[in-house]
Amino acid sequence: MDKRRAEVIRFIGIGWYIAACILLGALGGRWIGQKLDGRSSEIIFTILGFILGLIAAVLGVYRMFRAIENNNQDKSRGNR
Amino acid sequence: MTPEAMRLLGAGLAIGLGAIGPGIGVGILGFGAMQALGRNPEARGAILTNMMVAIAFTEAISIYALIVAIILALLK
Amino acid sequence: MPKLGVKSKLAIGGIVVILLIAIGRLFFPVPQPGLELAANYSEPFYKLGPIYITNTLITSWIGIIVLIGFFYFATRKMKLVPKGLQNFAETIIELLLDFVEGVAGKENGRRFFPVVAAIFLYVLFNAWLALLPVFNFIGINQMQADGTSIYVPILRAANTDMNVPLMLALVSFFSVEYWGITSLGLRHYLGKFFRFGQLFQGLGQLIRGKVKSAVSAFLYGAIDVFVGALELLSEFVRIISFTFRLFGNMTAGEILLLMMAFLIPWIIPAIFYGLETFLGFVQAFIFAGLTLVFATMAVAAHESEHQKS
Repeated sequence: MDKRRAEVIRFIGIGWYIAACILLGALGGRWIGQKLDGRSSEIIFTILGFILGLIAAVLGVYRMFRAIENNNQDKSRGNR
Repeated sequence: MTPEAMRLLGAGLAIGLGAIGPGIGVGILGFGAMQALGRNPEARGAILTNMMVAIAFTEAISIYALIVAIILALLK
Repeated sequence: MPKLGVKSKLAIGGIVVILLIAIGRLFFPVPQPGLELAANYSEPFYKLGPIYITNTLITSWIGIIVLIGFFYFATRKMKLVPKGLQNFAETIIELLLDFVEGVAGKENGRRFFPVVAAIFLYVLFNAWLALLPVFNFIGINQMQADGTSIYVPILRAANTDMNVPLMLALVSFFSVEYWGITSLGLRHYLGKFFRFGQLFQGLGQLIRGKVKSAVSAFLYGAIDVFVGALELLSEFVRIISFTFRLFGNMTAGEILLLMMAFLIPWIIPAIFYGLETFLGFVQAFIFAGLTLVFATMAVAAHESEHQKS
């Protein structure tokens, strides 16, 4: 039961990680754009921040799934 | 009645009456799919796929009604 | 303290969440979101000559970049036995190819596959990209023509702008016509819609003097012409039907999500996000599948029902 709970919390963590990455990227980009003081730079930096956040989220999720799969494989291999 | 009231009334009627037909249609589709599934449980994939396609067709008509209702109610 | 079982812990957690939501609704009220259709809402940010850059245009560009980037990185250093990203991309392509060939047959399936798969993947990515947290949320204030300033989000789902479904419907329409004409030849293909063969037969029989068969041939000929005209009309009505189906589903979904997020935060929107994910997939599948079905019908040879009497 504990192993199951750890996996469930891991998966919930993936969802929060995606949302946090994307939001931080977009909001950070908007903040930078506001500092640079111009309506157009705000827009461009928001979008750039969003794309960076998206890339970070996708890479992070990929790595996390790889980690889960390696974990499972190690466990099943250790059971023999 | 004021035009405002007429618009809102029209919006309500549009989506209300417009969803009756597709609702009955989707129900008939589901009935046919269930019957076919009961007779031949092995053809589950094909039945499900075709049912989805047919449901999308009928639901498109209720979406038209929804668009009319949204335009009436929300656009100035 | 007595040891709590799992069920009572869940019950306490549920009650705490409900209390938090109730307190939040009472003490921190949020105004209802303003809903506008994209027709008069996606405010342009720049003007590049005659082209307005709207927020949905930016989103569709992001969708294109994501798609092209994904397949570019999947096909670098291709190996015969795939692993990793290439494996994933190959799974997607194989599923789509099986579906397309299942409906259209082997050789026609290969011909239809690029356009159909591209339409499917594009609609799917646009629909799913719009579920990320940033959309319809971060924006700027803009002065409108009549003096009021409204809040315009920078990113908005591309499928909710009427232009994108219209573009896809036109692409699908022209592709189907192109495949039909290159498969059957221009005369045979147009002969499906303008079926004057029976009428001319009737005329010929009238000239030769067989009045009775001429009358029946005229009757069937008139019905044939009518049926052909109806088919021609339905080809064009299909454009409108495709457009409104995709646009209506996506806009209704967006409004639904906005409303749900403002009604009961935290719990209910999760369910509706699942619904929207499923709906995006179904709409992409329907669009591509219908294009495929109409293309298959368009390249099927039209057996002429001329009766020799």
